[in-house]
Amino acid sequence: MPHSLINLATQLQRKEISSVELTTEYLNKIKKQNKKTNSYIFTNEEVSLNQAKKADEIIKKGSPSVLTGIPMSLKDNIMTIDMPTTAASKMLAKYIPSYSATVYTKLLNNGAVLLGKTNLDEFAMGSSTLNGYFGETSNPYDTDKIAGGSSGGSAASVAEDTSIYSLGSDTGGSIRQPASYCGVVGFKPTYGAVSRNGLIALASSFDQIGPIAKNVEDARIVFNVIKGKDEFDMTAFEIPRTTRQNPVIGIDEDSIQKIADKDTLKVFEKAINACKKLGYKTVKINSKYDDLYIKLYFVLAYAEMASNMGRYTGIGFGYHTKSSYIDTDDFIRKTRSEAFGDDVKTRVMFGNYMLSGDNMKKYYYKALKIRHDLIEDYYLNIFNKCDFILSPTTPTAAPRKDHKYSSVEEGSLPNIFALPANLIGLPSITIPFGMSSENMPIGIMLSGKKNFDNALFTVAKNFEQYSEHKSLDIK
Amino acid sequence: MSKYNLVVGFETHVELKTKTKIFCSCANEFGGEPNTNCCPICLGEPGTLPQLNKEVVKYAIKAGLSLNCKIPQEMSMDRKHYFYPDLGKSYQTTQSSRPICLEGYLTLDSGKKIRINHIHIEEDASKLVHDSKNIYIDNNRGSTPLIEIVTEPDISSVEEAREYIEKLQAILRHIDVSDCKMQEGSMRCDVNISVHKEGEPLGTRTEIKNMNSISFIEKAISYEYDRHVDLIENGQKDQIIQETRRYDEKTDSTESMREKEDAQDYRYFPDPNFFVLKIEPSFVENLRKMLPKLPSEIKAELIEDGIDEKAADLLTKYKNVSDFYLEAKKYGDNKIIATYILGEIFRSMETEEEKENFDIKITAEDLGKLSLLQKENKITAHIAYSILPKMLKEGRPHTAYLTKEDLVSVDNTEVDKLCKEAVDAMPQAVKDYKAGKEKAIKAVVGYVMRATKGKANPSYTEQKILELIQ
Ligand SMILES: [Zn+2]
Repeated sequence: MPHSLINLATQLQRKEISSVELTTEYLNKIKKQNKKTNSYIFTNEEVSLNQAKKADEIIKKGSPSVLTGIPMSLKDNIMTIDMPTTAASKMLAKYIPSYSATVYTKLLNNGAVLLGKTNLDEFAMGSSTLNGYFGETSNPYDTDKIAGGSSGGSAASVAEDTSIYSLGSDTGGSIRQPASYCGVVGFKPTYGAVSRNGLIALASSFDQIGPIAKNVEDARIVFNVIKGKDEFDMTAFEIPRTTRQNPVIGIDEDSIQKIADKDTLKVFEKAINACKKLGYKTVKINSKYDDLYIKLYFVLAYAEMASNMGRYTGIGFGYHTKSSYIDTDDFIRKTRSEAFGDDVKTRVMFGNYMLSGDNMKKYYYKALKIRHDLIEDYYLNIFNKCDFILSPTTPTAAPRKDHKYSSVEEGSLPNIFALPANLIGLPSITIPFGMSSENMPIGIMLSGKKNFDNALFTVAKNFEQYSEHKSLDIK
Repeated sequence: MSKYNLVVGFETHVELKTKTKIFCSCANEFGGEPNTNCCPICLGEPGTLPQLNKEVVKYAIKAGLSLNCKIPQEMSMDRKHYFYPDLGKSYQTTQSSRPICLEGYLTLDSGKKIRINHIHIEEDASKLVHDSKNIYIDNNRGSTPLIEIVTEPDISSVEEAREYIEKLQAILRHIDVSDCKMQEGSMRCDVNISVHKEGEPLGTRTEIKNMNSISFIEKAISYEYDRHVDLIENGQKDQIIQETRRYDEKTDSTESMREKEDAQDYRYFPDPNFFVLKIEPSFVENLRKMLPKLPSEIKAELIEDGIDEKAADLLTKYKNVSDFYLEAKKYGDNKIIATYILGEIFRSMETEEEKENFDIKITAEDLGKLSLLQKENKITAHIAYSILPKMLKEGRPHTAYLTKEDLVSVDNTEVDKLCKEAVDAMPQAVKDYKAGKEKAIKAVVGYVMRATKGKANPSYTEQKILELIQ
């Protein structure tokens, strides 16, 4: 078993090891491992070791929390005042924020130690972590395979044990999909359960920050620290405590059979068996895993992305063009053309197209209405039958880096099971559950009703006992 | 030309004087050192989110209530997109689909109601300063709170346009939500203008943006009216196009801005950083209860109290003036106080702004007490008027200027005696008066006034003299 949060917290508090020692060990490991996987964009030993020293003092005084002294990492779209925050873009390549994200402040208040900032797809736009300005991240299980994305660096770092846990962000599966590909736990909270203050916005009504960790309990601990109301985010609120006795598990077997590959179905079969062993009743549901989700996501999320990307003009902060320009428009055009990668440009153009002129009514408002109906439908026709939805996290294990998808829709299939939770605002967790024939991790995903994050953790922990996942052991 | 009706509508931006900006806790002040009142939020730095200032909501609802608007129970915020250096996020957070106030009106003196379509809240853009080479951005104004008051095209003359704006200013100042200083930009108007013949559909409208003076608004409307009518009369109606124009005060004319503004597609859509915001009816009712009296209400009360309409208008035009007047009234005579304010005090003020500020050295209480002395004939109006300028200049109370002599009221039997003496002493004046020269009587009254050093009551004296010569 790799180092888990709980084990290390115990060792730290028993003073069997100091945070400075632990942090040094991890920083060294990053140096070695990053050549293979490129999980990290940036580290700063001085900052990390200072935080570790502080943590050791807190432990000496005898007032630590579970997170005190534990080295962790943050996806590089989460603002850190003491390290650059680049969103893996040339646009922010040298950007040092003037403030810290609420989640980072909360972690620091708990004595956490930041090892560095992890890699992602540029501005979190993607699901491969192949397209960022600072290079690709590879899957620690097989460096020819993708780590997934956009929180690929976070997932890979936890899998290879270059951080104990990490925070990622999930807009359309961006925590759960890479976590599943890398064989770790990834949790996307109820929309609004965690403050988005200091998360570089992708699609604001979809984005949530969540933990990526080595097991469900670790993820739960981190979530409980970062969650809650925030004066800097009007959409953040305090989720209620929830439990669910004798939960009913809904499974859309027909759709899953159609979408998932053989290896995945084999692992998923074991998850269904786990339900029986746990004494959980299962029911058939129709969660309509079809391209409706993908289309809705394209229209709504891309529109929000286009709007959110407007602020990168080269005026005030970030990259600006060095070539000559005629007027402000020309300056902005050149800056954006030079600094954004193709995936960002595509989304900005597509999103603005959706918001322009008549398209606004034809596509945007129509999609908004369907999203609204979908939310209603989920509660009326799915959550009336079950408490949690079980599915594979992705239809296949991590593909090769050179795998080519034949269409945009097909390219979105890896997120097909994950998307509903973002569209509807549900809590959703992936647990590594087994291995493919090529020895790559395969995850299962559980999603609950809005606000049922705590109950979801309990159920996920019960499933975890039956996992046949094999962790990496990188020294 | 009068066969064409003028049709005017207003979109008025008003800066709210809340303590902090609309989405962050920066001070809502500008004019100071550039870029000193800003933070990551109002600069639109990545990862920042807006927090709606509750005071802005309150101020906007107060404005809505005093303009007879309905306050819906839900409102939402929208994004309006455009690229320009004055807008850090490249979108302005405003309201388009669900504004905070709907369907109100403002009543003109004629009784005509100018309908308000809606009022919405939004953030202001930053201030740009251009020189020959560069554009400088001052973000102090960025994200300061505004309301935009949008009327129906109900205004049909230049006079009504002026009255609408003046009344709007008076109301918003009375409820203390804005200074409404057009010259400083805390109130700015976009004016829509079209013309048509009675019974025919409305003509194509043009919009003049960013007007910051009432007299420019009047001139611009007149110019546009003439321009539209001339084009129609010359058979060039198709040259009136829906466009944005700018008023140039130097040439007193308007010119098209079409190249910049008209091709804009603002791509309005709901801002995902806000949920739909609920406004409790009880919250609105509490605000309604707390609203001070509006200028129209105070004016009606003044008229009931015997102040004539024109004076009542002037006294309620500026909030500080009406506050002062109402306070002074507690200590003296309302009509006499009105003559002091509209006479001697207003005369000492050269600009509208001075009247708006009404920053004077006399206290309301002192002025009230002075009026009481005059009312009770303890001093004459002549004396009151002679000491008022000194009080205004030096700021000492009226008692500092009144001598014992001033305060001795003149016995009427003494005045009676003097009147007889005057009539006898000025036979020619009496003769002239009888021959129809009414003014001649003033000379006889003047004799008495001189003899009493201005302490006799002039109207009593005139009455007495008339009795004697009839
Ligand atoms: Zn601010």
